[in-house]
Amino acid sequence: MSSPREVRVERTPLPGVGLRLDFITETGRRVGVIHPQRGGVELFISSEDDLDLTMDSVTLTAVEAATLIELFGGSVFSHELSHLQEAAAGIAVDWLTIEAGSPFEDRRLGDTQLRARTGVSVVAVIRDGAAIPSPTPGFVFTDGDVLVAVGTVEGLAAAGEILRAEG
Amino acid sequence: MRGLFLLELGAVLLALALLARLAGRFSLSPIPLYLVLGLLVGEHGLLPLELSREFIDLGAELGAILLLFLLGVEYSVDELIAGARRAYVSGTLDLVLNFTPGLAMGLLLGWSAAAAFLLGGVTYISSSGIAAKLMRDLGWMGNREAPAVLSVLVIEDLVMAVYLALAAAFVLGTGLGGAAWSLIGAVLLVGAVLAMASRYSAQISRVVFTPSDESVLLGLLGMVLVVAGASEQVRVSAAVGAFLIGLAVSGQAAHKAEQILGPIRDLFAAAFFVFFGLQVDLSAMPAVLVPALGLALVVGLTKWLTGWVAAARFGSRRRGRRRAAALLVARGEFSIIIAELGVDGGIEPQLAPLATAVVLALAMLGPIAVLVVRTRDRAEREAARR
Repeated sequence: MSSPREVRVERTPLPGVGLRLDFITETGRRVGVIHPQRGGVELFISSEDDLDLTMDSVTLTAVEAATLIELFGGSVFSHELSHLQEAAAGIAVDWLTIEAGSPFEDRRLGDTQLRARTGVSVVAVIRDGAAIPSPTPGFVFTDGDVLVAVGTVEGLAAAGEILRAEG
Repeated sequence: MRGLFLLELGAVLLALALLARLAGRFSLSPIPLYLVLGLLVGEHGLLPLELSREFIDLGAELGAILLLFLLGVEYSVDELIAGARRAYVSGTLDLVLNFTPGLAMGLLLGWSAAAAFLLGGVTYISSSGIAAKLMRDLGWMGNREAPAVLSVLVIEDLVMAVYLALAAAFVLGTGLGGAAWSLIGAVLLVGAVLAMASRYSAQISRVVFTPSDESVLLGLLGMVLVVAGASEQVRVSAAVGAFLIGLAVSGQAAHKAEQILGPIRDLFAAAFFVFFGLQVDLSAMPAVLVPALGLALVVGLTKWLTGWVAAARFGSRRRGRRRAAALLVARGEFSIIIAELGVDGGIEPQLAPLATAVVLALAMLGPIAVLVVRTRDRAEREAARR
């Protein structure tokens, strides 16, 4: 195995359009995103045989982009905390998924006792691409729900453990 | 009479809608079709309408102002300056290569210096509307050459702000001294407004924007017209004022301005193109056809070269350069705005028909060139894979 190659991200302002960020993969494709001024984000990949040409691109909403980032984490429960977004000193935001087989599938938010046990607050739930803000303790989870949680880095890690516990 | 007026206006709008759809189907620009419609229903055309000139005239003026305003809204001052810095070599080349043929042709035809200066502007400026739309539709914003094309367009827009101010002074024909004075005034004004827009952009955006769409619409429109009118009073083109105030609107406010004023711009811009077509004397067309097509060919090629060099400077390879070259070929809305200055000032009867023919040819040829380049790209990649 070769040692991981450093990724060089190129920042290109596109006047009147937005900002483009991209890099070239080991396999020789250019992959990147465009952040348009009007919001959302466009994901693109270059053609196999012309590095300069976009082969395909797709526009994602903010929630879709967050979901994709989540998917790239592999699993929410990985202990990689690098994708946590630190909102303020010591406080971070994370996306926690209720996966099939989670003990809290089809159970209520209140049953998790997340706040009491870990100090973590669930500020929203993303279901089918739509965000449901401030879920009440009676909110019933279903497989695939993504919890937007705020807490300390340790608290969030513990919350992840609780949500997946036994399987 | 009044009944007839509504009927005719409605018929023209329906025809425009059909044309826009037709152009969309072939991913071509509707601008040449709008111009042709204007030619047809003008007093020299096949189907002269009674449409009140004053009414369309007002619509056309609003159209030009809104086109420039929303162009300004797309950019921030910082972007303009950064873009100009990154591509000033290509930008200078662009100006020299594409302004000169128009100017030379005007002088060759024995026109006044002012008219030749306007024709230079017509051949200089690419259609950022057509180019940006093609790039969006084809998903080419991620391409390596995209920043090269956009930077050239940004520089053109910046140059146009100064150019329009100059042209207005030229057309007014206040003599050489007067023109020089207007020139200094114009450059100072553009500089001052740019500096203000850069500094007070956030405040301006905040003052204009409220949660009520209705109030935003009226406020924006009012602000744009006041600035445009004031610019006209100090003998700087209204369009320049609109462009500059557009630069001051940024961020979320810019997004909202586009949403709200976009449809209104589309309506009045269509009116503007039809109105321009209306004024063209079709009987003068045959006499200018040969020089016009020759000029179109030359400035199509010089623009191709500009795009090629600009993309090369941004590190694109052969195919990317070819795409950038084709994207810049189209001339459109801004060329017509420049030509309209001449028509308005009544300085050269041949200018309008010649400019129309050039823009018609290149607004159609540009998108076609892009589609041809795309097809060749594909064929070459297929061949390489085998």
